Order: sequence, then C-alpha cells, then structure tokens
Amino acid sequence: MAGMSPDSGSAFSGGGSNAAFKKQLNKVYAWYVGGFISFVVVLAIAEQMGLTRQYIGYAFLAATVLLYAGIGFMSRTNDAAEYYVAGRRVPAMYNGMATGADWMSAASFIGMAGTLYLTGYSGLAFIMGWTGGYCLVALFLAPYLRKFGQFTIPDFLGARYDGNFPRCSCCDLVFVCLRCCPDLRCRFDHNTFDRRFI
Amino acid sequence: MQLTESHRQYWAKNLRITAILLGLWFVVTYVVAFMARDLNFSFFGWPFSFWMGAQGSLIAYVLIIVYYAHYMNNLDKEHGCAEEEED
Repeated sequence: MAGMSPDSGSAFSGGGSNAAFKKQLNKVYAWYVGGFISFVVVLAIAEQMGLTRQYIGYAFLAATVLLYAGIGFMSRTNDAAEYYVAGRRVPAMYNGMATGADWMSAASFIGMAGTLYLTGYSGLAFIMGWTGGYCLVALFLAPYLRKFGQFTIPDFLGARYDGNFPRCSCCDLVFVCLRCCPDLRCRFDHNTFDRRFI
Repeated sequence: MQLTESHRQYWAKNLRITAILLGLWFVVTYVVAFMARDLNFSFFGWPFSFWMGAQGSLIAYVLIIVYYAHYMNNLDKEHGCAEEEED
C-alpha cells in the first residue's frame, strides 16, 4: 500500500498527474469488480454446500461494511479538497457511474415497484422528480459550484449571495430531504439492508 | 476582473442555452403531466402520458443533460476558458 504517513498516505492522492490518477482509478475498479464477482461465486458455492439464506444476508452485510471501511482507510487524507471531491480529478465517466449507482438504489427498484402498484400514475411523480432534478442541478448548480470552488450547495449559495440567510434556508431544505428520504425508503424497502442516505 | 466582449458573448450564449433547455424540461415535466388526461392515446401499447412519466421524460432529461454538457464543453473551448486537461 502506498505510504503510511497521515498526510500523503492516500492510495488516491499521490500528487501525480491526472493520467496517473486515472490509471490508479482503473486499477482499483478492476480489483473491485473482480473481487465482487469472486465474492458472489464463493457465496454461490457456499449456498450449494448448505449455507442458509440468513447467513448469506449476514455475509453480504459484513462484506459491505468492511469494504466501505477499507475504502475509507485507503483514501484517508487531511486535505479538504481531497476529502470532499477527491481533488476534483475524478473523470466525468466515473462520476456518472457513481451518480447512476445512487439513482439505481434499493428505493428505485423495490420501493418504486410498490409505490407504482399502490398509487398508479401519481407515483410517477417520484421518478420524474428525482430524475428531473438532475436537469436543474446540471443547469443551475453544478457548473457554478465547480467554478466557485465550493464543496456543498449551502457553501455555494452563501458565497454567491453573500450571507447566512440563503445558506440557512438551503440547510433547512437539505435537512428536510435527508429526513424524508430515509423515511420513505424505510417504509417501502424494510426488507433490504442497503439503506443509504444519499 | 475586467469583462471582455468574449466573456459577454459566452455568458449570453450560456443564458440562452439554459433557457431553451429549461423550457424543454418544463414541457416534458409539467405540461405533459398537466395535460395527462388529454394525452391518453396509445403509444407502443401504453397510454402516452403514463409512458412519458415512466420513460419518455426520463430519456428527455438525460438528453438535455448530455446536450448541455457537450454544448458547454465546446463553448468553453471556443472562448478559451476550458479547464486544462493534463492527460
């Protein structure tokens, strides 16, 4: 593993060029995909040998938590820009994949099926809302957030409109979203363990 | 920073493309949802308004974002304010 000192110990920082960073990223993704496939294969074999469904669930949960801890350990850093936005060096395609992965969450698959079954056409408001929201973000926030060099939308609004009022109102909105989103998800997918707050 | 003519043109074009795409966004989101009962003709076997909500408008959203990113990348290059890529 690259270096153990706390300031430059990240597997992702390294201080190299964008090309080196991208190469490193490709390597990590390849390892991740390979590891995931072999994990599933191992579990399939274990299931054939008589591992119960309950323990398969535990294995998935434990592996996920350990993996997140490992990623956090490998990419630890002291630098704010590294911490929040990976030094703003992640290529667009990878950012797109991460956004797609957030979109295709357990709520989208399990929760939405139930919501649409229950409410019909009205339930489509969720789908249109959380996809159409990307348009508003892309047109109004994302490019300027990057140009202003801020990390969060409240920071950006505070810098752009110069004051604490826009900042606070944005914090309120974020709080409401964070509060409602898990509520909705908990109601619709209480049989999954993947309950994320993004 | 002193604004040059190039900066002004850049900003005017930026506002124009944002307005156009936002108009498109409004049509596929609110107009279609508001007129849902009238747009109930069959489309590939689905009621059109339902298909729009489930798939059509999502495709439109993705196309809007792709077009915006593409257009703004070109505009950045044209006006010399693109981020330098050190590949």
